[in-house]
Amino acid sequence: MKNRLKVLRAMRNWSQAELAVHLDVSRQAVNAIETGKHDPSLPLAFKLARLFEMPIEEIFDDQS
Amino acid sequence: MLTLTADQKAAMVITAAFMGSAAIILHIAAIAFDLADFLRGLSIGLALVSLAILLIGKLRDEYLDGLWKQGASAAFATTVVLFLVRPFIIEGAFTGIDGARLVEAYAALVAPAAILAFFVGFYGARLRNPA
Repeated sequence: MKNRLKVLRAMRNWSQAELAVHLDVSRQAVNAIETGKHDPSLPLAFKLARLFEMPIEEIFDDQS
Repeated sequence: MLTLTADQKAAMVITAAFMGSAAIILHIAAIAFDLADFLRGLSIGLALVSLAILLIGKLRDEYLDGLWKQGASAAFATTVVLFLVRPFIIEGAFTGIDGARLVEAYAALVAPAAILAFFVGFYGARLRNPA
């Protein structure tokens, strides 16, 4: 699933490792989500939405 | 008490997977080449410990959970295939003393082959997404 995670992370000047610490997942999990190889679970998607203070639909795009 | 970050836990699990895949290859070699019994025991023990670490680790991280699922699918598919081809390989191909050895070897290798397939699926998924 396409997402804006990389852009949102770059806006805050975070590395993948730093974002992983915020989410309490591994850096590999962050990378897998950013590259679209893995769709996050619902709890993780909500964590991302709360972290970036925006709705899930503005982070992830399931239409393309 | 030592507290590991999610990254450190993931690294530990990946290391355990490497240990497990090496151990199961050693176990299969020990069966195929009739090596010492202690090698069989040691290698399968290491493989099972590795799988236990992976099972616990996959519960704590989504990436590891994805790798586990790929490995488990490959192991299950391998088990089914080996079950289905068994009659053709053993009972249709060999007779006599070679047949008896083949039956014994086949029975001993099914489970290690499934575990090996697990690690092939695990690393296959990891290579497709080199995070």
